[in-house]
Amino acid sequence: MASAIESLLFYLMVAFVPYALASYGIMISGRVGLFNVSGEGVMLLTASAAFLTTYKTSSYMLGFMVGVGLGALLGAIFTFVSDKLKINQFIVGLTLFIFATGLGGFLYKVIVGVVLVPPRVQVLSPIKIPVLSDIPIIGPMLFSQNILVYITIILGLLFHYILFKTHFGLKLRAVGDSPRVADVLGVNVGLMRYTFGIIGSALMGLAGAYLPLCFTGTFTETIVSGRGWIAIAITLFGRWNPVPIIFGSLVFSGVEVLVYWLQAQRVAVPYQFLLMLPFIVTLLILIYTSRRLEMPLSIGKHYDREAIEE
Amino acid sequence: MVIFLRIELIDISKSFGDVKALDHVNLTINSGEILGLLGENGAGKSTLMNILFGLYRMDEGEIRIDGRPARISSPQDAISKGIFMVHQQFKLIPTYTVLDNLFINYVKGMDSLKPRRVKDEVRIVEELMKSLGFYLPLDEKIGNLPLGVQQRVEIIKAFLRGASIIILDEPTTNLTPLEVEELFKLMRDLKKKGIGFVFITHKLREVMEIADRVAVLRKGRLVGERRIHETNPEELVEMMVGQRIENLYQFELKPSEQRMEPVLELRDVVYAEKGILKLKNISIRVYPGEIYGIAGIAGNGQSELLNIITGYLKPSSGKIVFEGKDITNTPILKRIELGIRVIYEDRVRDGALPSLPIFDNSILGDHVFPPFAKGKILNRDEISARAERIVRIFKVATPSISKIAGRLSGGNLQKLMVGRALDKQPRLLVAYTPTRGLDVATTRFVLEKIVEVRNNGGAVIYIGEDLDELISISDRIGVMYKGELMGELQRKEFSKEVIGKMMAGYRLAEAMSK
Ligand SMILES: Nc1ncnc2c1ncn2[C@@H]1O[C@H](COP(=O)(O)OP(=O)(O)OP(=O)(O)O)[C@@H](O)[C@H]1O
Ligand SMILES: [Mg+2]
Repeated sequence: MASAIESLLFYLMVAFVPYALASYGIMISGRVGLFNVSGEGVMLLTASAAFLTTYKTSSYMLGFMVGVGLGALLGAIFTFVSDKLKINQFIVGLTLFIFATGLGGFLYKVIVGVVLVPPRVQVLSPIKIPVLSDIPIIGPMLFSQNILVYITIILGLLFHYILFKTHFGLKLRAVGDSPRVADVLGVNVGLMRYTFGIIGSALMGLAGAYLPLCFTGTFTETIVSGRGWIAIAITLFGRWNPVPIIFGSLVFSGVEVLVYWLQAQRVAVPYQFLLMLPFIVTLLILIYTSRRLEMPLSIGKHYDREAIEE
Repeated sequence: MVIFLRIELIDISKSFGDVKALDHVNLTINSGEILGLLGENGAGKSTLMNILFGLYRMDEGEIRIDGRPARISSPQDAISKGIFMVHQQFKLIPTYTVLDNLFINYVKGMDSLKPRRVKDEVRIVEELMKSLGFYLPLDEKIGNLPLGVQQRVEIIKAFLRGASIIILDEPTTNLTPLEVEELFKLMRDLKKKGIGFVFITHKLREVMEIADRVAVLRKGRLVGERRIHETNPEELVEMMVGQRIENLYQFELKPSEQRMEPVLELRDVVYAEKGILKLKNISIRVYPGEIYGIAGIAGNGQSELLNIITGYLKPSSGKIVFEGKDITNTPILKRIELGIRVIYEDRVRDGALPSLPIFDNSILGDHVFPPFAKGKILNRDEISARAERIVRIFKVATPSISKIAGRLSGGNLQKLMVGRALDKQPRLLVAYTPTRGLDVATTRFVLEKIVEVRNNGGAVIYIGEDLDELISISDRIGVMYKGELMGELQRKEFSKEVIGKMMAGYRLAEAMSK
């Protein structure tokens, strides 16, 4: 029993990473005024590209770099098209989602083709932290994980520190809440938007790369299975704040692990219903939070210095 | 200590599309001096200053600082050179605290990644405030503060960044008279410290009071510059408008006829919101052919009074009678049909739908009545005819009536709002500071139109903050203080001093005796 709980908690953290990374990405872009909804597609493309890279080269480093790099590139395109060409951010995001989803599946088919036994990579092995990893229950959960688990937790705390404890964070938030105020105080709004539009999407890319390299060890077209959309819900639910996003992500990875466990227990619930569970939770949470939704005040809006204010 | 700056704007030109906003303008600005900048709506005052602040790019021209050419292509450049601009719409984030607003982008580079030392920041600002003799609640959210206080946040922001020249774009438009006095005191104190101001306003009285020098723009050109003691309001008006306007504040009030039945009567109207009394037993009668002025500092119940009359708010108790009929429970549209017209306090929030074109905005309120609507169908010809008429008579500067209302300059949108209320002779007009943000000539024009409503037998309630205006056009003036009517004065009893005292909370008798 103890080992069963240990293993569930271990997987809770493994499943936590992609939700958290993708949500950070949405959050940090949103904080400079960019609402990037392309995450689901970015993750599929980067999952596919990272998997193929690592599969062909056996280098995890290279796999992650390709994932992050592609995410960054899509982020640059997103920011350029929405901010420079002034096209509605949701339209740009949805277009990128469709494009990246298609491209991700296509790449895999071209390079791997249709095969009976899909290729696999070994998932990234855990790094045990001496002494601490021997503590029962929380040892395996928190101190015997792959490196991305550690990075994700640290990243969340770092975002919290930067956003709320530093002058840089104040400036960053100001860009998303009122680009005009920021501009008038000498902030380079364009530079901030590009930087965090790119970083945000790169984080989604990292989340995508994580899925095959640290979680499943293989690529399928359903590998992302809604995590990119759920990350949007987590971000809204966390009100664009890193620490609540960590907790929100834990809720969803908890649901995921629960589904897995219920399946293993052979409970008499149809499999399809179990798969719906994360979305039902999303729906409930969104219904609850939508009443007091908080957003960066200027999210989704273009900023043009010489335009008349409304 | 403040660094002395001498800024020369040389031959500056700027166009927006076909609109030539600035045409070879030359102007010198010095620290330690207050320069008044005057001009009609659309003359180019804000544009010129936005160019100096690096927010707009000039098409032609040059800026020199202390004789050397200076490149100012962003607010960052301007701020680093000691220039700061306080816009008419404050550049503050309402959900942030005062302290956060002050320190946005204050620390730069790698230092900005270090933990914020909030205590030190508070100390710096408190020392600044002490040296200026006032106090700001640093932990309060901006959105909870009155406009006068927000303005001080802006000025401290400038001071904190070491500004030598502070540009104030129409800083007095939304301030109460007391706040204006406080602002002037602060400006004088800062001037003593060596700071220079560019002070944009439409009110000549203010320029005469505070400025050392004044420059006048007309249609994008500099028409002249004067030392303040070498000029007078009449001359300045002539420079602004291009012609003499005699007796700016004199209007022809036709003697009204025998008092008949009042058009509007409020009987003991009480209004409470969340348990707080906003209107206390207000009783007013307004007769045909009369302008009833309501004086008072903003926030003393004037908005509630207006909304009670339009029907937007329901009185907690008391009665509203219109031409002998009780309309206390009559809905808004029905009241419009009865002939009640309104010029709202906030043209963007209440008066207009900024994202719709001018023609739609010109019939809001009347949009369900003939001839604009037949049943559920709108009559486009009638609507266009009305919009064209308003644009023509009220000289709304716009290329066409299909232009989006939100794109009009503030003054022009206001003219549209006034035109809409007056297009058909109202039986009762309720106007809330309808001249806010309007230039001298347009103010005069709007006041004339309102007097015309009166002379044609309409009743007018004029809620105002500018006593010159109120005194010039009202037949009677009631003064509001904390939701209460402190008393009523007849035209022959008008005195700024008495009204001023009543605005501060004295009752009529007390104000007269002191
Ligand atoms: N951002 C802009 N885009 C297009 N046209 C503009 C813009 N800003 C100003 N204009 C136009 O340029 C001209 C000058 O406007 P400006 O705002 O400088 O006038 P102003 O003197 O400040 O007037 P006001 O007293 O009404 O504030 C006007 O015709 C205005 O419509
Ligand atoms: Mg202006």
